[in-house]
Amino acid sequence: MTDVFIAGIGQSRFGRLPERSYASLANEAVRAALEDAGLGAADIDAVYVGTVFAPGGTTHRMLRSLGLAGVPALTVESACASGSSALALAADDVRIGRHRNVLALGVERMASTFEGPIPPEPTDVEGSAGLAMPAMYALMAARYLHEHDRPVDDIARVAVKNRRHGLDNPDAPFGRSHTVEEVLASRPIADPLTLLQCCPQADGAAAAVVTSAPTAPADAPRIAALATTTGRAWDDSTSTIWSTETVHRTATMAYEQAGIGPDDVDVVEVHDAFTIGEVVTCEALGLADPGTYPDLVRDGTVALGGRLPVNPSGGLLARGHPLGATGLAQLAELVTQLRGKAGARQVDGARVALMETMGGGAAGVDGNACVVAMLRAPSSKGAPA
Amino acid sequence: MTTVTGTRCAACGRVALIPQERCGRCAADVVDHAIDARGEVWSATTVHLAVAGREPPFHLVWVDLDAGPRVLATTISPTPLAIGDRVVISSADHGWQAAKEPS
Repeated sequence: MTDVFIAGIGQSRFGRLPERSYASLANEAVRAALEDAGLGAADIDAVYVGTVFAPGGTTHRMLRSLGLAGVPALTVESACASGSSALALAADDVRIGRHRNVLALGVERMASTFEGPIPPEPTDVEGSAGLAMPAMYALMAARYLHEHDRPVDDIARVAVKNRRHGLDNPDAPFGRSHTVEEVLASRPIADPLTLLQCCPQADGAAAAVVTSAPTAPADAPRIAALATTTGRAWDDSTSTIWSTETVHRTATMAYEQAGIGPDDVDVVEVHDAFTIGEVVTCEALGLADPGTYPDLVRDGTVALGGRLPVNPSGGLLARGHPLGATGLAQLAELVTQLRGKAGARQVDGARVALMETMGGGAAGVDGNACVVAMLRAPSSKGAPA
Repeated sequence: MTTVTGTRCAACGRVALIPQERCGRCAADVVDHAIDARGEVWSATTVHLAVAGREPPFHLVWVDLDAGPRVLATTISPTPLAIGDRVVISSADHGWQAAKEPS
């Protein structure tokens, strides 16, 4: 098997951008990723595109518009994990030697498509009952707070942390300085979640060039692990909160692939679509004991400057959440961190990075898809070993 | 005993209320099965969004039925149900609805 590297990353502007087409967003991200990789469009051997709501044919309209038509290209939909799934497919192609340079691209126009939350799917038995994503995460949050006898401040503090992190990230338009009181006083969405505990809708694209032969090895982190799976049936009475068994199972595969564990990780990007998501995910990843993650938020362990910064980019809460683009934006942050180029939000000595994306929404399963990746810093970059 | 109609796996015996063609655990065929409608609220929320044609605020609960399945239900009472409440579910316009179990 071939070693797999991230040679280049790129993002479009994120935010409410109704004037921007899919191709325009994609072009901004792909142009940046190719330039970062030191490659041209002609060097790309295959493309995987992650998107949930783009109409049929969008991939091929985009590729034609970008001068990339004519290579093998597939579109992948895994809800919020669509971009991460495109990355996983690209990495597999390189790993098995099928292609040398593969482009993973994610794109979504959320803010320009939906007023308010994603409408729950009417053909889904829970969607038709009104279980919008914020309501599902609210049910997770209510159960978590009950089980661990914790106040709502303990999850709201995740929003304070991440939105503050976003202030140092030019790619995070929703970075703000908020108090816990302000987060809790924001508009109720689905109890106990308030507006500021929910990621904003955003339009955007993100891209990565995955390769076996980086032209600038000193700038190319290596993929040490990339695990993906789907949730099992989750319609039995069980003590596990939605998604956590799937995250744990995916992470276990990733730790095995990388030959290292949660204690070896220096920096993390996880799926904080809602505050409770970061809490239960980090516990499922083994970064905190069950019921204890809020303590790490409170004492600063998982904030910038702490021992294990989680979502130094500001996460989905500060970046917004264009579903298909999100996983590749998480990757872009971690590549930037491992290159030592994250500026004011740089995690000192970051050598090992972990990313997790969870996609959900189908009733009766413990997550539509989960992706966990681990990255290692280029050997000649980052902090001294 | 009040019951609701779900399915039971012919091979492993797993009982489910979610619509399914085959068993979610072992993929064997399933047959219709009357399930005890009583259970306990596992989690509860009040939704303040206008989604799925629902007028906010409305209440949603996940109910753990005594017979095994966990099911999403809406609640019609103006008072939200709380975790641990004993309930009975029944068929409704939007899937299932839960009401406090008569004592």
